[in-house]
Amino acid sequence: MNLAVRLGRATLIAIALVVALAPFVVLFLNSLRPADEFLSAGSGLVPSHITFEHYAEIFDPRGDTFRYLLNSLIITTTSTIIAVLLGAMAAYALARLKLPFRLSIVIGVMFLVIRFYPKITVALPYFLLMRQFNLLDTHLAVIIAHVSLTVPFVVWMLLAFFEDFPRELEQAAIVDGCGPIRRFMLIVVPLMTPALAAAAVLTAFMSWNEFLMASTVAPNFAKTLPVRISGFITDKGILWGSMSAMSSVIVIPVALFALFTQRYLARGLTVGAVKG
Amino acid sequence: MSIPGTIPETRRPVGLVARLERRLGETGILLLFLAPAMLVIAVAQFYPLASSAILSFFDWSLARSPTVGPFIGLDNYARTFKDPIFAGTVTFTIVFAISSTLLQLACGLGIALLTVGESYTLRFVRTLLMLPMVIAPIAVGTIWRMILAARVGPLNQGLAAIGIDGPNWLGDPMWAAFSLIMIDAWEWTPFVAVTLTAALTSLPGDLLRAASVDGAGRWKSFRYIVFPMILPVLVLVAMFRLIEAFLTLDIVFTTTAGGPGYATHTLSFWIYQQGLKYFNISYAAASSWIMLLACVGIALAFLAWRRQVGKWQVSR
Amino acid sequence: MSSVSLSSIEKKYGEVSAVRDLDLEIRDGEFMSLLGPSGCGKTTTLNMIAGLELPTSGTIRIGDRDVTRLTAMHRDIAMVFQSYALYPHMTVERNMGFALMVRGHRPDEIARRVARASEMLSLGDYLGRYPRQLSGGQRQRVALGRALVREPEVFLLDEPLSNLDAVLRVQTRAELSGLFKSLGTTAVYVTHDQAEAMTMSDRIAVFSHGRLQQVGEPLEIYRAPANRFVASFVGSPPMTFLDAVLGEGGEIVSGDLRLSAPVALAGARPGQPIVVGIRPEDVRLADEGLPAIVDVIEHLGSLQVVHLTAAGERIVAQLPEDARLRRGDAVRVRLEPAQLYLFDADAGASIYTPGRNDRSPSHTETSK
Repeated sequence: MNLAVRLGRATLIAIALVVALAPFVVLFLNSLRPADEFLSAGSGLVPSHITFEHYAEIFDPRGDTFRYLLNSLIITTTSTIIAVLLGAMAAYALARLKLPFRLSIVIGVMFLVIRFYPKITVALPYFLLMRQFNLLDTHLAVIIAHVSLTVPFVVWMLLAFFEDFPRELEQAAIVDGCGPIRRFMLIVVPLMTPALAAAAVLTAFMSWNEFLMASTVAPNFAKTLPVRISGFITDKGILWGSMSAMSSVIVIPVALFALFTQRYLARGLTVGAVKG
Repeated sequence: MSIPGTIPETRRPVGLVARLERRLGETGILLLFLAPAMLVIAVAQFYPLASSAILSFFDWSLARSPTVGPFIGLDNYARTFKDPIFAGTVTFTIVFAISSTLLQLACGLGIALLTVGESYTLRFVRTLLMLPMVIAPIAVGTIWRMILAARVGPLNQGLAAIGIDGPNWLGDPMWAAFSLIMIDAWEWTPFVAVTLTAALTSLPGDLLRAASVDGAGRWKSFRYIVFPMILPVLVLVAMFRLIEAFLTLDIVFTTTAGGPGYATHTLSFWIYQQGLKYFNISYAAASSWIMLLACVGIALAFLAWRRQVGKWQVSR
Repeated sequence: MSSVSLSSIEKKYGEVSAVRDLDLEIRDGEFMSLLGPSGCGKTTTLNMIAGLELPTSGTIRIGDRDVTRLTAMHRDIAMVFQSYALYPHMTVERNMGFALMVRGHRPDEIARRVARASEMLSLGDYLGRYPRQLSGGQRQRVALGRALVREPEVFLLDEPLSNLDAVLRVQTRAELSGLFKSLGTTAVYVTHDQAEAMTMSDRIAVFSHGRLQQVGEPLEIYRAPANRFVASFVGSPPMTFLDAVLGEGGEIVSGDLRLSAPVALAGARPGQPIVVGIRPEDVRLADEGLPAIVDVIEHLGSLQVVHLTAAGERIVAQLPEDARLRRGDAVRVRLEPAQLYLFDADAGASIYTPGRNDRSPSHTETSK
C-alpha cells in the first residue's frame, strides 16, 4: 500500500515534470536544427545534425540583436534598482507614517489597485504622454513604465515584512540618535536584505519579460527582446530557426537565473497571498 | 550657541543627514520617502488612467486627426456595446479566463500536495516546475506555436507516430481556443502551485498530528482540516489568476494573433488592436474602461469571498 | 546627571487614556522604579520620558530644560529595552559604539568609552561577537553597556531583567543595583516585579490603571501604602484582606471575627465599613489569641506560608519553619493592632497603616 502510494506519487511528479519541461527541450533543440528540416514532416524531435547557424544569424554583427539584448539588460537592471529603492522607501514610510484619516491605508490600497486593472488602459495614454515629452523610443520611457508597474509589488511585499520588523530595534536606534534616514539606511536596510533580494528578483523577472508597455513606447531603437520576438510572427512567413534561437536567448538565461534565485523568487511570489 | 530647550551642540547627532532630519522632522522625511514612488505612479499610471477616462468621452482617432476631436458623451461606450465583435471577444475572454483558471487551480493544488515537503529532491522538483512562469509570456507563445504547428509540430508528429491524425491546433477556431487555455494553464499553474505549497508549509504540524490522533485519514484530514485552512489563500490566488487571465495579451500575440478570424481575440488583444494598430484612441479607451470596471468588480467580489472564508483568522 | 520632572501629564490613544493626571518628580541621581501590573501606564510613562511617545498634554523637564516636544533622538537619555534590541548585524563593539558614532564622537573617544564600559561589565572577550552568538545574560550586559557608553543625563530601563532565568535575575539585580549606586546617574526603572523595585530603588512610583498611586521609599510603600491597591501589589506573599466594620469601643468586626483596633483609631467613626489588611509576617503564633485551623502549608525552607481559617475568615501567615504544623492543627494566632492596615471600604484609601500616619494618604512625598 505504502509503496503503491509512493510509486503513484513519483509517477505523477514525473508526468508534471515532463509537461513542464518538454517545451523547453523542444525550443532548445529547434534552435540547433538546420533550417531545411523545419518544413519537412517526419523530421523527428532531435535534429539530424546540430547547427549554430541560427545563433550566428541573429548575432550577426550587422544585425540589431546585440542592441536589443543590451536594451533589455539596461532596462531590466535600471528598473530593478529604481523600483526596489523607491518601493522600499515608500513601504517604510507607509509602515511608519502616522497620517490622519487612515491616509496611509488609502495610499496602500492605491498601490494595490494597480495590480487589478488592465494595463492596456494605461498603455495608450502613456504612449501619448511620452510622445508629448519626446521620450518615445527611449530607455527612459520603458524604465518609467516598468518602475510604475513593479513598485506596487515591491511596496506590498515589503509592507508585509515591515510588519514583522521588531519595534524595539527601531526605538533603540531613535534613542541612539538616528532620525528616519539613518534608521532606514543603517538598521532597516541591512536587516531586510533577504526581503529586498526577493523583491529585486521578482522585479527583474517582470521587467525582463514585459511586453505591452515596451512594445507601445519603444517600437524601434529602444526595443527589448520580447518585443523583437513578436516581430518574427507578424512578418510574412515565420523564420522558425531564428525565432527559436532568439527565444532561447531570452528564455534560457532567465530559467538558469530562476534556478539560482528560487528561494527569493518563491518568497516574493507568495508573501502577498499567504501572509494576507 | 545652543537653542534653549535642546541638547547642547556637542551631544546632538551631527552631520549633513542629521541636519536634514532635524530640519524636516520625522513626518517630513517619511513623506519625502514616499514621494518618488508616488510621483512615478502618478505619472505613469494614474495620469494615463485619468486621461484615458477623459478621452473615452471624445471622438479621436489618431489615424484621422492628430488632435482630439469633439466631445461625444457616451457614444464610444454605446458603440462598444453594439459592436458584435466586442461581444464575441467578451464571450471568448470569459470562457478562456474561467476554464484556464479552474484548470490551473486543480493542477496547481495537485502539484502542491504532491511536492510539499522539505527534502532536497522535492525542493529541486519544485524549482523545475516553477520554470514555465518565469519566462517571458511572449516566448511562451512562440514555444507553443512551434510545438502546435499543424504539419511539422512535434505534438502532431508524435500523435501521428501512434496513428492519430492531430488537429490543426491553432488554425481551427475551437482547437485554437482550447490550445490557448492549455498554454495559459501551462504557464501559470506553477504560480498556483508555489503559493499553495507555501500555504501548506505554513500549516502548523501539530494540527495534522492532532487530526491523525483524532483518527482522521488522509482524505478526511485534507477535506476537513487542510482544505478549509488553505481556502483563504486559494481564493486570493483564484482572484489573481482570474483577473490576469482576463487580461491575457502576450501569448495571443505570438500564437494565434487573435485568429482564425476573431475566434481567439481576448479583450486586451482587441483593445490593443483598436488602439495601437488602428489608432482608434478614444474607442479603445472606452473599451478599456469597461474592462477596468469589470476587473474591479471581480476583485471586490473575490475580496468579499476571501473575507467570508477567512473569518476564523480574525481575532475579536 | 539631571532630575526629571513630569507635570500634569496625560497620554491618550484615541479615546483611551493610558496615563492620566501624572505629576512625578525624579531627583538628580535617584534610582526610581515605576511599578505596576501590565497595562498600568508605567511603560507609556517611560516612553514619554524617553521621547519615544509624546504626551497629549502636560510638561516634561529633564534638568532645567523643557523637553516635552523633543523626540528621543534629541534628548540626552539612554535606554535598555526589555528585548535588549541589540542590532543583530553589528558586533558587540559596534552595538555599543553606535550611538556615539551617530552623534559624531571621535573614534578614539568611542574606543575609550566602549573599552571602559566593557571592562565594567566584563564583556572584553566578546567585543567581536554578534548578538546571536551570546547568551541571554551576555546580551543583557551588552544592552546595558550600550546605555553606559552614552554617559547620559538619565538612564531608562524597561524590564531589563524579565528575559533572564530566575537565578540569573536575582544575581543581576544585585549587580545592577551596585552599578547604579556607583554611577550615581539618575535612573528610571520599569518593572512589574515588586521584589526588584523593593531591592533596587531609592524610591518607587506605583501605578495602576494609568494613575500614579503612590511615590515613596521602598519601606514607606511597604509599611504605609496609600491605598488598598498599593498594599495588595507590594509584598509577597500578598496581604490578606478582610471586609469589616469599625465597631463600638475600638473593635473591628469582620463576620464572627473580632480584632482590636489600633489605638490611634479607638472610638473613631463607629459603624464605618472598612477593609482590614494583614501582612502575613505580622501574624504570630501565640499561647492565647484567635483560635484558627491550619488549611494549607507551603514550605519555603527558611519560612513557611500557612493558610489559616479563623472564625470563618481566611488569613495567610508567614511563620518560621521551627513551628511544626500540620494540616488540620488548631492553633492560636496574635495580631498586633498597631500592625493592621485599615482602608476605606469604598475608595480604598488608607485610614491607618503601621508606617507613617501623619500625612494624607495619596501622593506621599518623603521629606529629606
